[in-house]
Amino acid sequence: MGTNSLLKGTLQTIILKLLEDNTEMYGYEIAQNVKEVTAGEIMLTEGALYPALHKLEAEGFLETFTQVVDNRVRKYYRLTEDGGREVTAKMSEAQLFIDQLQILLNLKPTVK
Amino acid sequence: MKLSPEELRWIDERLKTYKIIYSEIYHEILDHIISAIEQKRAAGDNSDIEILFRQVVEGHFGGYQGIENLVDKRRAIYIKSIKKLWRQSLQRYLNWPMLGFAIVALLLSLEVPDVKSIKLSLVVGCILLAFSPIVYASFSLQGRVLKTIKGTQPFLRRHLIGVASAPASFLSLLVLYVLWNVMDYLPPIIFMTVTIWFLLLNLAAIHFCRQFTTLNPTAE
Repeated sequence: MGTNSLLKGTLQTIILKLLEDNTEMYGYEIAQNVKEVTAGEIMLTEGALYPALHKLEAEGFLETFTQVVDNRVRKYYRLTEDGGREVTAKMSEAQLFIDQLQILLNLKPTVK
Repeated sequence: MKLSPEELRWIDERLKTYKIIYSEIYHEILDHIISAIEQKRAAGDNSDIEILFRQVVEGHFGGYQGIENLVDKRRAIYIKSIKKLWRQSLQRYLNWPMLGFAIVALLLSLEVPDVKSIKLSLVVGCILLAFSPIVYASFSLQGRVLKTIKGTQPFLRRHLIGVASAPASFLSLLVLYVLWNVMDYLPPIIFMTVTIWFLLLNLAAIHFCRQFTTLNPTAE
């Protein structure tokens, strides 16, 4: 999928935003959510998703807890206070990037 | 669609052959695989559990190698977090009050008589300061570190107590050198300098243990 190669720099933003909207989610749920919302156009690879989740957790942006569901342990992620602030910062960054990209790809240089 | 107990047992046993030693990541991957297989079954795929397992492991994780990479990355992130917290703990005590205390202690050591008993007392102090964090870490960190699927805690031994026992490693070399070679020739201020160094490491190690949490070692 072509779109997936463009995701690299925005994976953390996507995860943080999803957790802001859904409060708490587990790994598989995050991957499925992205797939459903984008109608299968964007599919997070687990090899990228879990390291990103673990990194965000180590940086203190996410906290985790476990629950036993159907006799197996399920690890949930949710935003910390720092994580909540990081979502705003990352969303602004992403918006700025999208705006700049749009200008570049539309070949419409801004004149100041 | 829920899987049968036999199928769940088969997945568990099969996944154990992947040598995912840490229980946290093992359970996360296990939950992912079961959830994915359940969804396939719910979508009408009634293939044998072995086929579905292979499809999920290959398709989602990139097979055995992909899972191995995932575990390696998790371990690397965890170790990096531990090192970061250790640096923060050291920096906490590298401050002006500590410097003031060190200067006063060093000045006082210039006034004490240059006798072997005082030097030996300081060496004993160093030994206590060096080993107390290991004992503290062994008890206080139990149950707060990554466990293996067998319930053991290799991270406690290899990384956390390793951090706490760093002073002891330095000390061993120093004490041997001092005791057997040049104790009679060194002034008390040298012994006091070493004692202050071990005091700093001791305080940092205890702070490290207090701040450390299982899933977020960078809690500070």
